[in-house]
Amino acid sequence: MPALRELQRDIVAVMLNRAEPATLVCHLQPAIDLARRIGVYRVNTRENFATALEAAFPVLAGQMGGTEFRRMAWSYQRHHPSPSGNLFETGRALPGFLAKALAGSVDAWLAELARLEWAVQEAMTAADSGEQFDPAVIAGMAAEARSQLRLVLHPSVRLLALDYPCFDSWRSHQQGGRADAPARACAEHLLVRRASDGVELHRLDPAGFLCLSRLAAGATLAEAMAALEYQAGAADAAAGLARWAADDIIIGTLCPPSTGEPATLPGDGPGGNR
Amino acid sequence: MPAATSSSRPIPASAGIGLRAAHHADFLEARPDIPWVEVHSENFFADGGRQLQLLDTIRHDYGLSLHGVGLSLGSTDPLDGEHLRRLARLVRRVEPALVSEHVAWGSVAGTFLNDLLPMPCTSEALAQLVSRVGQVQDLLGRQILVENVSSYLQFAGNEMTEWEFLVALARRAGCLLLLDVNNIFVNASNHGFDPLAYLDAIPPELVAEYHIAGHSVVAAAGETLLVDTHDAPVAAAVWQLFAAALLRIGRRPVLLERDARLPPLAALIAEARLADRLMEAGRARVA
Repeated sequence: MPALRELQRDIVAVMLNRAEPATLVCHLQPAIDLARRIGVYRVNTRENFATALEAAFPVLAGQMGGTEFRRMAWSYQRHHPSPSGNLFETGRALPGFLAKALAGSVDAWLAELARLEWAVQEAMTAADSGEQFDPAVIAGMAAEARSQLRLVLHPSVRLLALDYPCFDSWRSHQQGGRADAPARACAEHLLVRRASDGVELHRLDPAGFLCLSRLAAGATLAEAMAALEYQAGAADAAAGLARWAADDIIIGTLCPPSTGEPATLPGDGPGGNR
Repeated sequence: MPAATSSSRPIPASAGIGLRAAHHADFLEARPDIPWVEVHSENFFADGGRQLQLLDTIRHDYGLSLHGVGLSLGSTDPLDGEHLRRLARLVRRVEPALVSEHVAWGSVAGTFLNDLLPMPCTSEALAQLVSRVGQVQDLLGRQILVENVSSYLQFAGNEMTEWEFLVALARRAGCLLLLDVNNIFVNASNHGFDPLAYLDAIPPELVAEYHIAGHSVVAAAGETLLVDTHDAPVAAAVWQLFAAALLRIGRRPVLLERDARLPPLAALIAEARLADRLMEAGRARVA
């Protein structure tokens, strides 16, 4: 192995606590306190990682407290070291890590809170959309063409089906309050999206969630609206669709594909959409 | 290779500041009278949203420098294609006057430390960096600047001094230097060399920008270690070294970096203007 690669592998192992600092002595010039000098880099590696996570998951960090959050962050770093020079990416695997680590405990809801906060991060950094959708375009179409239409959601839209209701905790933190734990597990459906003045969260009823999830998955308008119409009736379903368009949640239309298999719809399989 | 210029507002040989998120709102409101700012490239890798809109606004009124901290130029891994794609997209969008990165590495085998680790000063490491700087410049279609980093370790296999390594890199890769005066000071103290010898060895024509910043002093176990923390005002000794750099190398754009314990925006700009006053004083002496 070339000397540079061997050196870099040894240093990374030490920085991530996978090897003792003594393994680096052969690579380094002597110094009075070599361990302390190596320690500067170890601290940087841990702190840069934990600080980036804290910025991406402020509600979670506030809920766990600084000491516990950092302990968790370093454990997460050992299992999921940063995959990129862009620190934003460090948080991507955290919800899954917490779901495993906290399963069955009273803190299991924190994994769902992390899912919510990661969706907020994604919404914040998603692509812009210059498109403006006019629902009247749909109203003017023949019924057959309308039913086969596929709609486009704003790139920042994220749809979440949570096992614990985290919306109130998140909102309380935004308002400067304490993010209390939910009293009990129960499903909560949320729409996360970026508006002109920041990221917004909206609760959805299960039918609305299913409808939007189907649209996001590429279903036709007829397939997506079936869920809404079953629950609310055709008129209210159409009004709901118009509201999503007015709110820039729906931003455009796609032509129906001429060939190919129908989209696999959220809610068709066991377990529903997550 | 095109020179390190672009169609955005030019950056004069004056002081600018590193613009951090905590100051974004104040900066947009105050529109301070400062010619240029530098931002960390990776903080603007998003596909869209407010951060990018901020840069779109700022670049019309201020010179803009994109300073990367995560490309891991010295890594023995292949360059991260996604990172480069996002950097190139950002460069196309905001057309910065300067693009810079570090003479450092921070990843191997796909694992990133998100820190700036020093390179050993060996011919193997030099060849690696020359190749990678070349790849980046080819992809961006422009010349980049590379910055000397602070360090707390020296490698047993070093074949040349840090300044010899830096000059050889710039000459062979065809890039320019971003000379961080604080890092020279920190390394001189940590490794026991004369910082003026470092400056004397740097050909002025290779230097396109200076950085200045604060550091921390950690004393224990019989030695004093300087740590490049960017959390304090620039030390008096670093200002003196900066004045020495001006005498040897001349005026260039100079950037005050502050990443922690941020003072109010106005105080940061006031500190940056000390660099302007030093440069003006130097000009007066020459005249």
